[in-house]
Amino acid sequence: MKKGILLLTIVLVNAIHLNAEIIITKSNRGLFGYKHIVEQQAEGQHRLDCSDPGRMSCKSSLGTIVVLSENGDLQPFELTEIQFDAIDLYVENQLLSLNESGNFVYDNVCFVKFYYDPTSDFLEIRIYSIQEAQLLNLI
Amino acid sequence: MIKFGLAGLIVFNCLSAFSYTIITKDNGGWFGFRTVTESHSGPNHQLACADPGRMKCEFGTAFGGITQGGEVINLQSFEPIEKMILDLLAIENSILAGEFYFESDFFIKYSYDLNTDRLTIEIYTLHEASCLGFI
Repeated sequence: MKKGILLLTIVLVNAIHLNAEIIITKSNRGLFGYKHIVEQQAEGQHRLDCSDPGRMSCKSSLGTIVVLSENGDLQPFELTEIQFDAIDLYVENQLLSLNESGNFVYDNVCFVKFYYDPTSDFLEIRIYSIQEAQLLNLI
Repeated sequence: MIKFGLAGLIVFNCLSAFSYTIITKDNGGWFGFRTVTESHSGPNHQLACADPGRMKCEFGTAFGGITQGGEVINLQSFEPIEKMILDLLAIENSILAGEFYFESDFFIKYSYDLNTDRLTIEIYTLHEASCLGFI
């Protein structure tokens, strides 16, 4: 019993630490894009936060995004600009079809979850490597 | 005396014919707007849409459109006008206000406030635009 609990704890701790994901938030969008874009890179996570009306596209300035897992156990998660754009376009089309949330596997490269709150105009997109999505039992 | 009468007649003609259609879209979301306010006063029509929500920014079905010389703009769907404006505004570093003729019968003025995400579209018949000194 104790071994079981210990094993479960190890698995959970690893699952928490084995991050390799990209988080994108978009809030208060204007007709032509955003005013503020904040991009943060860290081991295990890459964030892109876009807000308020402006003229900038909510995109990474890096082109290809590479996310290293926190403890190095996972393969680095790479997403090219073309892949990012394709995912972004797919989510935008989902929103235009009035779908508030959803998830999908993109081209066997990554797993994408999105959620939109229409009253606050807040969109969150989480992109996981396939490996991490499997570890988290998302797919 | 006759001149004054004629001038008065022209002014009266402009005043009596004066009308406008103004549409404002203010801080919308992906799904639409939270509030849509529509008002009609004689020949004057206003549509004000604001804040993120789920409603479409459009006139109700009871409102057909504005006419001039038999031409009708169906304002339930002013998408062609809006599309032209968005195309103009989308040009990088473009001036955020302007005016143009639409289908030779209407004069359009528009402005966009980038900070508040407020788009204003004013639609005039050519007669109205002339009376107001826009053309």
